This record gives sequence, C-alpha cells and structure tokens, in this order.
Amino acid sequence: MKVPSEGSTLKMLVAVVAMIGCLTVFNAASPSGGGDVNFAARQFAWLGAGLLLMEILSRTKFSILEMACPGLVLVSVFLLVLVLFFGARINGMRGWFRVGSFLFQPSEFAKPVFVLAISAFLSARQDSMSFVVKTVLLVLAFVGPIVLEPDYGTALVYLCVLSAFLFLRAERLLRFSLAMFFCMTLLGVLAAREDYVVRRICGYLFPFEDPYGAGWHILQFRYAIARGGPLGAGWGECLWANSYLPLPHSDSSFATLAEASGFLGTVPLMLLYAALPFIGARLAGGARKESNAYFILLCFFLMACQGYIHILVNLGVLPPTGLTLPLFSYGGSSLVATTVMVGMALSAAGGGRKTTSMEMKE
Amino acid sequence: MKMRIEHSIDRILLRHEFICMIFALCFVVSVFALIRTGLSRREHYLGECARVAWITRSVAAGRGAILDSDGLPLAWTERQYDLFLAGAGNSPDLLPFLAKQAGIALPPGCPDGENLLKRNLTPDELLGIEKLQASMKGLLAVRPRFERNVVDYPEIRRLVGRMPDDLEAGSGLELAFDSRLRGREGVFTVMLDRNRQWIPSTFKWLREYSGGEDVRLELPLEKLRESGIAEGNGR
Repeated sequence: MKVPSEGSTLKMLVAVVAMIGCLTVFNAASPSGGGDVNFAARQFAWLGAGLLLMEILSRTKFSILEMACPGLVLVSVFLLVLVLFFGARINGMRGWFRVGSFLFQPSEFAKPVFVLAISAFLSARQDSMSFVVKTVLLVLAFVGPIVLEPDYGTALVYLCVLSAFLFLRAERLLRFSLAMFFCMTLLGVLAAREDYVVRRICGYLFPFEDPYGAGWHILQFRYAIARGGPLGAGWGECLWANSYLPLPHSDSSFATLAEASGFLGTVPLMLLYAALPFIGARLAGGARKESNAYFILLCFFLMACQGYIHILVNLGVLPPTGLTLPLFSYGGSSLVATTVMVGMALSAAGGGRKTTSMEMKE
Repeated sequence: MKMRIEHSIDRILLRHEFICMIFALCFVVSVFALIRTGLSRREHYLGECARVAWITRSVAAGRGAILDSDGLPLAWTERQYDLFLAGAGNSPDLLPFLAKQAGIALPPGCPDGENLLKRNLTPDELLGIEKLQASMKGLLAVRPRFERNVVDYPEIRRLVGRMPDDLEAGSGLELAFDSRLRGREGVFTVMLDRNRQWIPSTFKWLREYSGGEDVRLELPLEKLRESGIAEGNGR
C-alpha cells in the first residue's frame, strides 16, 4: 500500500479544511441558513483556483521563487500603494480593488511575498546596520500602506511574522525584546489615534455599557457560541449567525462554525491551527537551506497566528480585529494567498519530500 | 558546510519550539474559553438570547358574527389599523414630514397622550406607510384592533346588546351567545432578526388560535326590528 507523503497529506488537509470553510460560508450567507449559494459558490471557485496554484507552486523549484522575489516585492508594494488611491472603501477601509463584481485585496496577496522577502533578504549573515536598514525598509514598504488603509489587524499579523523571524534569528534576546517593545508601542500609539480602534477596545472591556454599539460584536459572539453548545445547532440552523452576527461568513466564521457544530466541531479546528507550527517545524527540518527553513516556519506561523487571533477574538479573549480565519473564512484573496503560501512552503521543503540527512550530505 | 547548515537549522528549530509552545498555550486558552461560553455559562447566555431575540405575542380571536335567518349580518367584527408614534423624543417637525411622505392626513392636535396619531387607517395610508424607508418606518407603529359593528337600527342595537371594549360582551344577544361567538386567542413565539423583523422559520404557536363561530337567528331582520320596536313600546 502506498503511503502518501507529507506534502500530499498537507495538501489534502488544506483541501478538506477549505471545503468545511465553504460549507460554513454557505451556512452563514443566507437568512434561512442554506438558501443562497452565491457566497459559497464563489468561495468554491476560488478554492479550485487556489488548489491548482498550490499544486503548481509546490512543484516549482524554490530557487526560482527566490529569484522572482525582488520583482514580486516591487509588484506587491506597488499594489499596496495603488490601493490607497484607487481602492474601494469598504467598512471604512480602502483595501480592495473592485474588478467587476470581484474584490481583490492586495494586502492578502502580499503576505507570501512579505515572508519570502524576509527569508530572502534578512536571513543571510550580514552586518547589523545593513540588517536594520533592510528590516525598516521592509516594514515601511509593506506595513506602512496597510496602516494607512487603515487595517491594523493585518498590520499586526505582518509585525507578528517579523517578530517571530527576529526571535528565531536573534543572537541576543534582549535586543530582540527591545526592538519588539518599540515596534508594538509604535503600532499601539498609531492605533490609539483611530476612533474605531478605541471604540472596539472599549466595547471589548465593557460590552454591556453599549450593547447595541461598541459591545455588539463581543456579545453576539458569545450568544452564537452558547447556542452551539456541546453538539451544535446543526448545519443550516445557524439562526443567530444569520441574524445577529456581524459578517458571519468572514470576521465571525469561527463563531458561525461554533453555532453549527458546537464544541465537538470546533475543537478539531482549534487543534489544527495550533498544530500548524509543528507541521512547519517538521517540514523545515528537511529544508536544504536556512532561508528555506525560515520561509516554511514563517508561513505556518503566519497562518497559525492569524487563525488564533481570529479564534481568540471570536471567543471574546481578544478585542475585535477584523481578521479572517485563513482557509476558512469567505474571501478569494485570503484563500488563494493561503494556498499559495502552502504551495511555496512545500516547494521550500523540496516539494514536500522529507530530505534525509543522507541526501543532504550527498 | 552542509553540517553547518544542518546545525543552524537545528538551532532555529530549537528556538521555534518556544513558538510552538505559545500556540499550544493558545489552544488551551481557547478550549477553556469555549467551555466557559458554550458549556458552563450556556444557560445564562441562552437566557440573554431569548430576551434579545424572541418575542411572545397573543393574537385576539376574531368574534363571530350575529346573522338573521337570511344570513344578513346584524353584528360583525372588522379589523382596523391605528397609527402610533413609536419613539418618544421625535422632533415635532418630523411628524408632518413623515405624514407627507406616507400620504397620511393627520388630525389636528396629534399626538395625544397615548401617542396615537390616527385611528382607522385607510388601505392607501397603510400602503403609504409600507413604502416609507425602513429607517423612517421605525418611527411609526401600526397596530391592529378589532372593532365591533352593528347594523344602524336602534332596536337591533338594543337587541344585540353592548360590547364595551369590542371584545368583551356586556349585554343582549352578545352576552347570551358569548361562549359561541368568542373564539380562543392564540399565543405564538417568534425570533426577530437584527432589524426586528420576524424570522419566519422560527414561528411557533404556543396555543392555536381559533376564530369565533357565527350565530344565525331564527327570524329575519324585519321581524327582529318589529319585535324590538314592540318590546320598546311595551316598556
């Protein structure tokens, strides 16, 4: 019997999780809990495209992707800046290009490129000054436009990825801690200048002070999860998600799943997101180069980090950030970017093939 | 060289274990939060859900008609619709504006103490209110009401009897046949969405509604009038 390789298992896992995501989107997108297939059909189409790209990228040599990195960085940064001027404003954020009835979010597509840029430009040994300059330039180029959209949730994810990289690479943890303290304080000060961020934090701390305004999100998350209980209200029975949850198919997709499938349905998903860094570590163990290892680890870190921010927000542990659940929430840009990231990570790991130390020595 | 790369990756992976531990901790925190919200405090939150979203309302049963032997109605019930001001503190300029938008001729001096703006809306006025934008419609409330009507002969009115509040019988035939005429009021529960609209799939009767029966008398209207007049003269 042929045992599937790690790469194939991972691809299958991605497809299954994304399929369950499509079901959740279908569940959440219609008032009757299962009549309107538009959102789910689109998500399904994006999933097909994403899986195809994942397959192609996983079979591409990682050195080709590294060679294309400067070009990809330029295109990504150009789009991130362009969207500030010509993007569609949705929910107070100018972060999407509207192409017909489709929306394209550059900050999602820039995620794998950002990780690639970190691993390609910063992982090699270099003098401190050059390293600091490159780091600052990368942050300004990628995070700067996203902060200006303003999308602090996504900016936070980018900074978390950079923090993880600095932590993995740092020779001295004290320097790393100081740098992180400085970055997070800066982001905090910038975010505190936005009224909507302050309102969200107030709503998170005191939801009952303004239950129909700032506290609305937090309370509706709780009610939807409570309706799910241990076994869930059932697929097509997500009345609370359909009627009260804000954006049940994207920002609140975990709570929607919790209402549909309850404790038993959500724990495996939580376990999967917690296991992503472990999967990344296993793949990175077989990487041929240090930069490949960084790329793999950071890709899986990014997915797990964004996933857990989303889950903890939906569980009321963190204040609302507007982040979606990778692979699961509605959104073609996010879904395709995530599958692209998995494909590139498999490419970095040598097509998903575990490289033995014997092969490395050869 | 290869050995150095391997060593360096091992060092990265060693440090990465700390990141893995953070996510393991996140998992534990999430499970704890999920148990708290979805299991241990579930009843509390479900109670709040019910308070926020579910309503229980009663539907008054339509009272049956009193007919003469030829089937002509002597007393019957009609459903009327009254217009109320929904929110206190509305600007006084808003009412004339809304009335104009909905095509309603408001009586002078409204609103009165009960916030009633107009009784017995016409079908055109109801359609006008329906066409108002959702945000404007929220400022007005249309409430249905049963109204008992009797044919306009004093002797028949005396015979049929009084209905002090359009639902409860006070005297005459209304009181004599009350048990047949009155129906049984229904009670239902339904979930409302965020815009306070009903979610049809959640509608459930807690007690079925049944309308009142019609009562047919053995004499025609003219005979009843004559007997009513004779009875009046006898007094």
